[in-house]
Amino acid sequence: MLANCWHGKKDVRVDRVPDPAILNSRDAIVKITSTTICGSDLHLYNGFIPTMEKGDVIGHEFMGEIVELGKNVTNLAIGDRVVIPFNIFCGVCNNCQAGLSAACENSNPNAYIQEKMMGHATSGFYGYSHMTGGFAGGQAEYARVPFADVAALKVPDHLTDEQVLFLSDIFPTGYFGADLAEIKPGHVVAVWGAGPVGQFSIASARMMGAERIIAIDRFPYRLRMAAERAGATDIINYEEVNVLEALKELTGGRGPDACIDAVGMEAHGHGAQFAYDRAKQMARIELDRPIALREAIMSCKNGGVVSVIGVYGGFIDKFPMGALMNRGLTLRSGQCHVKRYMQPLLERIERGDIDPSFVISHTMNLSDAPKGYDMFVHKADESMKIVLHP
Amino acid sequence: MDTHQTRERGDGKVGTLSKGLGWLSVGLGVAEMAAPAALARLIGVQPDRRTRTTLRLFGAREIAHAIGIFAKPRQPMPVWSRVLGDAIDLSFLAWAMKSKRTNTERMVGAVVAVLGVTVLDVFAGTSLQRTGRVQRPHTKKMSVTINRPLQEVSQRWREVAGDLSSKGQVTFRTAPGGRGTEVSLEIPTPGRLKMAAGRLLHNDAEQMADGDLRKVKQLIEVGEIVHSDSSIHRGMHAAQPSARKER
Ligand SMILES: NC(=O)c1ccc[n+]([C@@H]2O[C@H](COP(=O)([O-])OP(=O)(O)OC[C@H]3O[C@@H](n4cnc5c(N)ncnc54)[C@H](O)[C@@H]3O)[C@@H](O)[C@H]2O)c1
Ligand SMILES: [Zn+2]
Ligand SMILES: [Zn+2]
Repeated sequence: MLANCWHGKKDVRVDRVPDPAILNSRDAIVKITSTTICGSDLHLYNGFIPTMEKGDVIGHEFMGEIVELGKNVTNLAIGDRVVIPFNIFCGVCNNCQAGLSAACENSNPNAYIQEKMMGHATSGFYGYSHMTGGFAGGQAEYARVPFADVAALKVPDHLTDEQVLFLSDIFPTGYFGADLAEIKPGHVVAVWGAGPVGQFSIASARMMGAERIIAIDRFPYRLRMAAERAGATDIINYEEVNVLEALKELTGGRGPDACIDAVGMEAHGHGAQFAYDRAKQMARIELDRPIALREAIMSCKNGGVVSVIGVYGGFIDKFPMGALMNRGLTLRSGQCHVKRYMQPLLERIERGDIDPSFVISHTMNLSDAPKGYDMFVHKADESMKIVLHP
Repeated sequence: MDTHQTRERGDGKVGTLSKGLGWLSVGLGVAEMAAPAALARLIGVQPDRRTRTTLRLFGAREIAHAIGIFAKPRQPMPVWSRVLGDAIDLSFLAWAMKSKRTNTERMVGAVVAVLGVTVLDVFAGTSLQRTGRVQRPHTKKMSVTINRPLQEVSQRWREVAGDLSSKGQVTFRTAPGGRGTEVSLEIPTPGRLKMAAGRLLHNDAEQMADGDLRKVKQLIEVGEIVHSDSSIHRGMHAAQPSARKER
């Protein structure tokens, strides 16, 4: 089959690789109909995620049709149309039963690597390095889906791929960011990053009844989408104004009740702070550039919540602990426990509360994946979400 | 996933002895450096320039011994360095003995004194060596929580754990809040050399036992060992399906 493989920094290639086979009794093989490129894939592409190997099949957002089933999958049938969450999880361990599927205790065969690096391990993820298990990803014609009986979400035929594909990651992730932020009707919410994930945090905050939602980015087309499609009431272009000042002005001096970081480790910035973090990141003294995160903490209202869904990989410097502690902020974060949100969000799509396809900017053939990455990393041609069809 | 077990740090007496030897080094070192001529006369050697220089160097050496001992009073190594120093002192005395201008009576006194101290040094060194061996963590405990009641876990353990039980001591206890069963395996840690060799050959006993424990958890909770596209291979393999006929 054809699959998009990682070959090094800024080097992905669509290679011919063997087809996947059933390895465990709860596996399914899915013939992929749609897959996409995520902001998280850019961290791999830019070489910031350790434990990648040449030839790794990448991609973790995909859906398709079941073509083969392991002997212990009884609730699915060949031909079922399914969306697959990016976390691989068993459904029976303590964390899975507590709804923490991104922290499944059984699905990461390389857990020991993360235990050394992070203390404890995450679940397995598709196509996202060897420390998350070394699973082949979904930017391919077929994928093996472990624990398919608990993972796969069957989707009704009247919804298009474009409408349900993002249930695999970014819609639940954006919603998760808003959920962690404990948004209540009447709240003021600020979202750093108006990428696809940020767009869904904004849309979710709106669904939760936030009264004022402020989108922060530097790309006018992304800010425009936030305001026109996702539901932001205000936008801040951080290249034009000082974000902390602008947020004070927009919130009567109080600061937002909730601040969501949908930017992550590769935040962009200006001046001395950006140069400092970039230099340290290049020298690998600091793995992440926490520019948006620092700003979110400084801006948040006293007693407010800072919710971090942008991905970080290692250590950060100049963390404003004093602001966090003295002003009584709550910091929450995580890889999204996607499965928890899939069914309720599917229902919202069916009810017409939201049509997630609004983030799609380009549709390409899988064989054009390298072009898609190059475009998305440079935010060229107003790219937002690129959907690939095998 | 694992915790080190450290034995109670033991035997204050040997520690006190080695510190005492440290103070002896300080006293001797300062005397040798500050008043080499007086010291030379005390041990019956002519205080000529060569002797004075030698004694000053010996003084510096004694101070170094003292620093070593005070930095690590429970380690045998600094005390062994004193024994080496004793040997140098004795050979210096033997050399000085040959000189005609030596006061033999005083010299014999000095040799007896050094020999006495040497006995103490050797005693302290061997004692520390012995307690030191006990002090090193000699077992490693690793644990995993299996999301099943204790009775089921201990029963299933016998079926699926294979020879893991023979590698060390296994204990089971109910996890707090009844959230499964904590299984811990305490294995003897191999000697340093064996451990290093294991790492080199990629069959580190600890890591293997740790991985096995994880597999037992999978076998009991999931019913099988969970594979990824790369984990089915020995050694590194790209995360892509393995060669098989194309669909
Ligand atoms: N937690 C999870 O489970 C999860 C899931 C999916 C994605 N993510 C992460 O979410 C983040 C966003 O993903 P995406 O697909 O939207 O990526 P993206 O690259 O399209 O979006 C990131 C946006 O952040 C903006 N940005 C950069 N620096 C900024 C700053 N200092 N202030 C404000 N905005 C800034 C960029 O201009 C860009 O529009 C990534 O880190 C991704 O890894 C997390
Ligand atoms: Zn993603
Ligand atoms: Zn699990």
